[in-house]
Amino acid sequence: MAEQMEYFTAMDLVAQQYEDTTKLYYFYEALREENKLVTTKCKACGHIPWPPRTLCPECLSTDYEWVDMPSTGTIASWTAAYAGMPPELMSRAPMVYALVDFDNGLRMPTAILECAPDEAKTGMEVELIVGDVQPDQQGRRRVAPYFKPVGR
Amino acid sequence: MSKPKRVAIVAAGINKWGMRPDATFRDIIAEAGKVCFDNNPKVSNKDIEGLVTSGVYPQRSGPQCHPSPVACEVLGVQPRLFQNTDCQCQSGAVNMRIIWSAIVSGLIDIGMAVGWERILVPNQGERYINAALACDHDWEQGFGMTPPALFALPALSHMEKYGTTEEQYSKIAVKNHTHSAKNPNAHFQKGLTLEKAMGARTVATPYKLFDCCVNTDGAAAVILCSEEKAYEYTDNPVWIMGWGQGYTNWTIGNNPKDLTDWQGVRMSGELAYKMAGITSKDIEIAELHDCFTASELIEYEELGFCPKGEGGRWVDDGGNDYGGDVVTQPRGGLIGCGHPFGATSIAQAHEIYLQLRGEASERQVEPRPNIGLGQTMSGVGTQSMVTIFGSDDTQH
Repeated sequence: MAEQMEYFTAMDLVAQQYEDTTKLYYFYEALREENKLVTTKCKACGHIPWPPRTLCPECLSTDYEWVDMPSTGTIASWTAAYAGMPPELMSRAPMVYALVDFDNGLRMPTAILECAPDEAKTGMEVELIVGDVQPDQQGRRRVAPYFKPVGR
Repeated sequence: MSKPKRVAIVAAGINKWGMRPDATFRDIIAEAGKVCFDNNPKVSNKDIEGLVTSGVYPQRSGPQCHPSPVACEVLGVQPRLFQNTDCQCQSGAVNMRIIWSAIVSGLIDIGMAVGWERILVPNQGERYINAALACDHDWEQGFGMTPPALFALPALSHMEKYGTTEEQYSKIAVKNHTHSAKNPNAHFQKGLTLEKAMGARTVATPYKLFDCCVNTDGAAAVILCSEEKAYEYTDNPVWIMGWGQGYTNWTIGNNPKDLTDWQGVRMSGELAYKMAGITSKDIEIAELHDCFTASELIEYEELGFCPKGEGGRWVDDGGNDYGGDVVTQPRGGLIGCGHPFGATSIAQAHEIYLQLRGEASERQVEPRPNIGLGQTMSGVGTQSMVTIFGSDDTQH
């Protein structure tokens, strides 16, 4: 047996985030380096989807550009999770998870950080906060778009 | 759509579900397959022309890819049609529909659907991976959300929009545990009081422990047969009257904006009712996808058992239990029986087969029902499959 088991990419639950591993690498680069949430916009028909796409599901065009998402949104529904989380997050339980609505009509699931369960409310305004997650198999930094109560 | 050939269930079997560190997945398939063949001695394993397995996690419960020929070898079946299928929690239903399609098209006359899961590995991290894999890899898994948190979101919305209470959710758990106490194959057989359900630890608000089903190790099997051959095998077949599958979207951000609006479930019910030529009023028993208590409550509404928004009141009135409008989860549902993904829809079919034949012993619904509904779902109300079953009386 090898002294240390190799990193099993087939069990990696985090998205690949760099140019050599995903066509959508700019989404993560914008989060990592510009602290900015973005998505794709179809240059042919103007459709703006969530999550970002390389292929427009409306007109099947592959011609897209990146556009900024709003940096704040409101909670559509939420839960405080005490179990069912990855082992490395169990020490942070309870974690507040939510669906966040943006004024461009899109909605995304995310974690609400710096928020106690008794503070969370439907309709609450939240703002983007970039969180670090497990590095990739080459040891490179990976991030996720989380949110926190506005002004926190 | 022209009327397809009729297809019947002529045998069904299930093994004891629960923590099975003592059994491999081959053992689990052997147990349920044996019970299924023993259920009808007129059906031989040598008669089976098609065999489809439904296992969602074979690569995590062997690991093993391509499990259908494993099941054929274990059960002594020499098929001319075989494959594995995965549609997450709907896997067993799409499995039975593959066998049904093969019979309707004339490829085979008799085929077997075998569903199983062996998923209760001792390592907590691995169990987390199993739960996370049901969510989108790139846009959900990495954020740390698993089904309890995802399904808690519409539970809260239903409370805020319609005034549904945590106690009404708990009453569904109590009903299902009460039913599974009479089911010797169920994971849970001790019953449950409302006090214990309401006082249990929180998993993901508003869900407490008993609002959630558990994954379990288990298998179930049914044998489907053409109308030409069915009466050679049994004088009391149970008929497939209709199927319906609904889809609205995959990632939860694209769900209908009203989180309590489960269009995928509604669509699956409407299509199945139409194919069967019935309405929701004709359903006497239903095995629904109670992955969580709010799921079952919203399904009552979307399948037309009660008006939209009145699921909680229907629970309080006992419309969902023995003596009510529709007896829901007579076997105990996912909450009472556990949820081995690939086997669940087939276990629902097994229960309805017993109920429509009057063979469900202590759980038998009286008077013996003639029409039953099975429903399983993947995604938070966005992908669902409904099967309508009819007793032999419905066909004459």
